[in-house]
Amino acid sequence: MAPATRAQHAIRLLVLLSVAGEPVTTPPDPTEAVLAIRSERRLQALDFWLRNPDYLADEIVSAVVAGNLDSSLLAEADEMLNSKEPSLRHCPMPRWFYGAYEPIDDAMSLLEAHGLAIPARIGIPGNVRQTQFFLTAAGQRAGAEIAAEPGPLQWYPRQASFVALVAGKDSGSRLKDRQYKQAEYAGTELGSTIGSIHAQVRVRLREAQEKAA
Amino acid sequence: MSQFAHDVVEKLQRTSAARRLLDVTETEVDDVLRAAGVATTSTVPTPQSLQLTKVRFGGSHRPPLPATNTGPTPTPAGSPFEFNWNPGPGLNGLGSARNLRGKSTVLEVILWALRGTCGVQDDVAKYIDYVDVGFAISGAPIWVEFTVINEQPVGKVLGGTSPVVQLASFETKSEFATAMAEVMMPRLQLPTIPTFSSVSGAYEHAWPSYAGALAITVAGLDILIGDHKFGLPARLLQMFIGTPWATTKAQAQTARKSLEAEIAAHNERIEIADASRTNHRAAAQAALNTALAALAASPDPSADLATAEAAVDNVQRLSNLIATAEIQHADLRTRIVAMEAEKTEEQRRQHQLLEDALAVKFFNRHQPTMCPRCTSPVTNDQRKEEAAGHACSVCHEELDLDAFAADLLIASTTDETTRRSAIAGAKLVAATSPETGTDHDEPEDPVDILTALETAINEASKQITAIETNLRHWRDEREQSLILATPANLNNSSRHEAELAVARAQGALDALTVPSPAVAADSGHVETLRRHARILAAADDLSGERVTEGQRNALNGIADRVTALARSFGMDALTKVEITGSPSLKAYKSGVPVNYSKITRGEQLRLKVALAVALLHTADDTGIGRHPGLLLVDSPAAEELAQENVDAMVRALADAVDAVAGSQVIIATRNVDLLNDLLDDRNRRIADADGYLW
Repeated sequence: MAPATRAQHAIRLLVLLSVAGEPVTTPPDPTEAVLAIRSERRLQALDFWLRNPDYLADEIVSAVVAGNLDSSLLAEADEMLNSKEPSLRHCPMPRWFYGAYEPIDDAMSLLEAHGLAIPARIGIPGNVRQTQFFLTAAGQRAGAEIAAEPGPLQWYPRQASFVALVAGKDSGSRLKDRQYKQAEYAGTELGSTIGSIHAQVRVRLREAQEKAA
Repeated sequence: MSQFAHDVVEKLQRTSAARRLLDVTETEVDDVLRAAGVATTSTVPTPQSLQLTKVRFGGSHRPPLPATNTGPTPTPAGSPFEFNWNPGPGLNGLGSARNLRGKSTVLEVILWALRGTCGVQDDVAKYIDYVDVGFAISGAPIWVEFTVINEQPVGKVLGGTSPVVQLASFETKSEFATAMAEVMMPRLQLPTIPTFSSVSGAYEHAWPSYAGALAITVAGLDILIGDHKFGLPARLLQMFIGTPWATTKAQAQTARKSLEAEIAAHNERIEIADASRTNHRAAAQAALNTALAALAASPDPSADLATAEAAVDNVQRLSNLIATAEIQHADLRTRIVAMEAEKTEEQRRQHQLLEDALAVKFFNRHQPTMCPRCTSPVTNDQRKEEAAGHACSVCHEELDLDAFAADLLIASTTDETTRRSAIAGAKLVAATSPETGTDHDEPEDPVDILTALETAINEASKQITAIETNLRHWRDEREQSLILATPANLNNSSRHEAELAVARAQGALDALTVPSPAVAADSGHVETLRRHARILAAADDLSGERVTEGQRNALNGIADRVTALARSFGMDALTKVEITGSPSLKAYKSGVPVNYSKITRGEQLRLKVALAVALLHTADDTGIGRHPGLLLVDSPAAEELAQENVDAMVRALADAVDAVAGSQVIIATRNVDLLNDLLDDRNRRIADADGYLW
């Protein structure tokens, strides 16, 4: 399967910023900023769930079983696993030192060039201490456009809302730890793409549905 | 003429009228006894000693350790293992501080080699590949060596010093059992114990019972004592104590029962010659009529031959069709699977293309504000240049005009593939967007593949369904043809059987119609049998009396010894023990009789050990008796006994072994300290700490 393009990547990042971003305070945040994601780790982790509906479905099942989410969401998890679309939507990511990682520079440039987002790195290349990503007002409007326009792109904001639900307010490190709990994820060799856990999740989902019934 | 025959004659003359035989002579009695295999002298067996000289066994894969193991493991599961030990005379010990460390297995392996039958637990036995055990019978060496192949013992029994000769070889479980019996019984001077079974006629127990009686395990020695009702344990006890006349009695009893069975059979035959014969005759006639009807109903073989041949041809033809169809079916299935995969792949590709094009289009709708690399702002002029299709507003590169025509911003320097792909994507977007309004007018290339694949898949599925229908028909037809194809043989044999049935029925009927000459001849024979049976009964009773007498003293002595020993093992409440000839052991606790099966396992074990020790002593005291002096005692501490009681038992065994020359006791116990106290290095094998014995 051809890897996702720069434009698709940019759409995903834009949508994640709109849906999973947290409020800003200016100053110190830039004046144009409307929403923020405060670390690249968190952004990558959110992107991982957006690109891997099977892992997201598993998180939903876990949350329902633990009582943190309502059992009506199991239907969403079912859609994610069993409808045709998600296999089209499955976009594996390679695993690197800090977990699933895909360089975001080009995609972020696209957003930045159009004034939709502002990346802010603290530190110098090679020794970056912190990166924050801010959504501008224009970016927020663009995000709303994607959600409103009928077509295949509409899937992204919808799916991102589930990602936001599952991620909650967890920091990037916390999210990464959660994702590492999946044996398939943790066992992937550095540089290889992280494999699917479709089959296992199907089983867990069925059990959870039976219990809820 | 034997003294015994004389005594039998006397008895027959003095007995009650019903069984009296006044005209019998000693010669006749001797002849009868000899013909029936009854010994006329009391055999005084000389004890033979049996000792274990060596036990070695091992395998290429060590069994996994039990879950209770928490200590260090000497060798990991899966590696080769071996146990090799040459015990000495007297008391020997196998010790380990914990249970489930292989002590019982060592004893079971010894018994396996001794008895010729395997009592090792299955889950351990499957790991044992070879066994090599050495015995000495009154000093003469015997070796049993075998490997386990496909769960069967394959090996040989050797004996002698120089030269060493092969006494027996075996390749199966039953051959092994037979080999051990044939080697061990004569050498230990043990008679076979005749018992009579009314089902099979006379038959004899032999070696496994003896060998089994040598082991005191949780279940062992029940064969000697316990609430038994049948005769075997009685005889074993008699053998070990060495009661004279016991063999004679057993033989006489067996011979008598065998004769009585024959007489009873004769009586049955006479019954047939009675008035009830009429009923039998009617039944036989009915059977004959049925057989004749069956014969008439069975078809004539010759007419079916032609049909059969045609059916065979049909079967062949259909088999070919079926085989070809099955191959086609498999091919189609493979193709469908491949096409489904291609279809999914194509759908993904197209989706990807579409989405990317939409995303690009989306961004192109927004105006760039600056170069993301160097923050140089985008001016209005640069925007105009871009809108006119000349240059990118951010990087100022020349734009590709064809792409621009399709609403795409692509530099003219971009490579061909990217350009093409982007244009294709744009066309896809245009085709599927609702504004165009002409959804039917789809661009040729991408969607065609999908349709083509779907059509091909449907076609193939239809073909598969058709093939499956055909296969079903052909298979049914072939089944039917098969039935028709074999009538020649089948019917031939069923007709043949029907003919045989008629012959048999006819014969049975004829036999009943004619008065049987055999019956007449039989009567004379039966009289002789009755006479012999009386003689044997007298011999049986007489030897029985002698047995009981001789036994009583021995049993009393043993009972006293058992009482003393059991009390020293901690059975304080035991006041008396009675061992009757049956045998059954009755224990008296605080003066009240209690049956063996009603006392606790711990107490049963104490009694068994006490009995074994008593038997060892008895053989030595009286100089007669057949206990070979070998005892295997498993885990006396397995039953809940206080430490000092276990010590007392082990010491009593140690004393018995000292007192009785040529005896050997091998005890497996958790009481490692005691073994260290009592025994030399050669006589003990103790596992390290928590480890395994082997």
